[in-house]
Amino acid sequence: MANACKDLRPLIQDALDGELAEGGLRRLEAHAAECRSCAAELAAGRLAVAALAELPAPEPGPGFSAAVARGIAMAEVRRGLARVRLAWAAVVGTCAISALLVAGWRVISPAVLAGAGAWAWDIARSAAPLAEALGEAALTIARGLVPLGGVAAKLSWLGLGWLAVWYALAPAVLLLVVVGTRTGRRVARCPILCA
Amino acid sequence: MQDLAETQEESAIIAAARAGDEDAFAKIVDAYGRRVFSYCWRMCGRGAEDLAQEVFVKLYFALGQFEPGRALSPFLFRIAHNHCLDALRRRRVPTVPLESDSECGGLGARIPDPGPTPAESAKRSEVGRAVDKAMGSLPPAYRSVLVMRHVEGLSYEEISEALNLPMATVKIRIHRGREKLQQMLRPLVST
Ligand SMILES: [Zn+2]
Repeated sequence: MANACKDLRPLIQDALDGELAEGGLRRLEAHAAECRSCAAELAAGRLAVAALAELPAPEPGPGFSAAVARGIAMAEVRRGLARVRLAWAAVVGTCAISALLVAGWRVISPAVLAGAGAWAWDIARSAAPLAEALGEAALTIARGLVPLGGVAAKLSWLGLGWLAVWYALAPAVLLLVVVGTRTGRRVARCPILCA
Repeated sequence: MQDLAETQEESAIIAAARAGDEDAFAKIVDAYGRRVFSYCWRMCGRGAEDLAQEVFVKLYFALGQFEPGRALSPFLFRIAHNHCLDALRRRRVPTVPLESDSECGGLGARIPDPGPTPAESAKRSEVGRAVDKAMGSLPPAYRSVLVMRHVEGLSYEEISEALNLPMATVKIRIHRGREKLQQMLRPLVST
């Protein structure tokens, strides 16, 4: 293909679209007058466009509009039926799901409740020794404090007051001991101190 | 069937049809029936009348989505195009071989005989038959744009709207489709 052909071939489609400017069209026509190949291409394009526009237009049958109206009526009936079916499906579905939920709950609930009870019992059981140990510790400390309180009461005319103070101090001291121990353990775990 | 000018009158008729006026919808069917049938015929051949009727049934239920004030043809041709593609897919005939006698093919051979009048028979020239056959052999993607552009006279913009494709793509498809037709028609061009 000559250079002129390469340049001008792409213009053929624009020419067929009627979008080629006057100058471009003149160049294309001038080239086609000399180049048989491009002339044939352009002529075939024009022939195609003209033939497409003149293709015989098939007509629908005489009952076309009536058939469309019938089609719409039938589609409306089908849509109505579909809506009724959908409504029924919704009712039946809701009932079925509700029944399944109730039945399922009845079957599962004893096991669930038993499981939850066992779980609560496990917690209580594992917590009980802990609570007991704590109680023992508190009692031991308190027992140790009581004689001291007694001695203090004997040493003072305000013995009863001192006794009350000792008993009030007992939980505070216990708290201090606990907090002190925990802090001590934490400090002991500190990497710098461990190293 | 008279042509419905895409004017205020058309807008009024569409608005009435949207509101459920059956007479107004019948006017739309009268105005566009031939074009939709022709498009379905060019795209699918056999069964085109049923397809075209189904397109209008679809249009009836889709009018609620139509944007008032716009031209109806791109909207209608979009429905027709999608319906034809569905039909082609159902038939499993993706492309039509030249001069085939398959369900959707051989359009040239299947155009209803325009009638016994000698004048009309004479119109069906060699070129016409060749274009018919060539169109039948094109893939649907090219056939659709060529029918919309050169048979139905839609603008590039309308085709782009109908096919939901960018204008550039529509243009490329039209050019390629036309080039394929050109190749098939070249033997008929005397140089
Ligand atoms: Zn050339």
